[in-house]
Amino acid sequence: MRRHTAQAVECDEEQGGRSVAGADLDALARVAAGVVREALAQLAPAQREVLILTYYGGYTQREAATFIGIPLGTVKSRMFTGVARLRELLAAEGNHFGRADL
Amino acid sequence: MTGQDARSICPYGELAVGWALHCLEPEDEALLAEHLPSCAHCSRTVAQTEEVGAALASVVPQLDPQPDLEWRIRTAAAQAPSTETQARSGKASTTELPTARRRFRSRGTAMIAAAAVLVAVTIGLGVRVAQLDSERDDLQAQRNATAGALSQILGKVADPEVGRTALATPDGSPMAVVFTTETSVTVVPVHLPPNDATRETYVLWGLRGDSAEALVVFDVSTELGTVPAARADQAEQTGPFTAFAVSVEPGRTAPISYSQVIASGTVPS
Repeated sequence: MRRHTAQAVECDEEQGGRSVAGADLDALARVAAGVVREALAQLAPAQREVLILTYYGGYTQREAATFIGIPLGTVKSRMFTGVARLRELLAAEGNHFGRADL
Repeated sequence: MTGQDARSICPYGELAVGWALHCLEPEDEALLAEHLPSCAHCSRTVAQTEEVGAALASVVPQLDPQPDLEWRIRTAAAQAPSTETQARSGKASTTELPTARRRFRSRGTAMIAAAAVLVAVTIGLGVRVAQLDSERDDLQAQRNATAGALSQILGKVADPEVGRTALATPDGSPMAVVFTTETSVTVVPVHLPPNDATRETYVLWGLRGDSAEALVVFDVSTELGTVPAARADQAEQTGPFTAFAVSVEPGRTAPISYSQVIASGTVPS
């Protein structure tokens, strides 16, 4: 089940309200790739691993868990903490995070 | 969205992250679809995660489909001298594949995932044929090998020095990503359909000047955990390839020239 691509972050009001809800994607698109790579590199390897498999690889959480050989709950936890850490790292670089905090 | 605190507010917090990144299992997705409209906290987590997803998207390379590339590589391959792979296998073949084998999902995306890792086959200049047995006894060994290759890829994703070439079908559907360094070429299938390893194999080709080289022979499995992975650390220079392509070939070895390129991409300058 590889249904995710990077394009999936685009707004789609017709799919059950899965819109970005205030995220300024135009501004986010300007985030330098180098900064994002650097932030990824600063993640804990375990967090980076699950995010890469699920986000870039398009695998589901269960597929990622099977692949790595860890419980599904651990994948969920690592994703949560990994995303939170990425937000911190990118915000520290002055990126336009925060609209979704409203 | 601050670590444990956010999850303590709502037990669905972790699912909200998976929802935003589109990687939930169907049952979890159904749960959150019902929960989300009534939970402002999870809605905020989704929005925050989507912001991160948008940033992650900036890392992936733009697709640059080259419809004429197949012809160029075919011509080059026909003129190419014997490859190491051919010499090793002694079973050159140019048999055409059944057209039914070449079916792809149309995704219509202009971006390609840069680090999908299920099969990772890394090579140096030489060719290493990925022929790991899929029998049960070898499962753990394969997992270990795959994990090793995965580890390499994870490092590459964050390394700006590593070249990335997206391979796509002529209609733009992303199929694989090739990572290149001065000494290695790594092909990472993204949406290549599983192949029947008993009678056919995938081959990665590199185009350099007027020649095409069979670089890697690999399989794509349907079953997680039984994915073969092989890598060879050789210090020789691979040299600058100008393009890469993937074909499906009958048998278990690379032929002297490919049957038909199913995805290709030029190396970004």
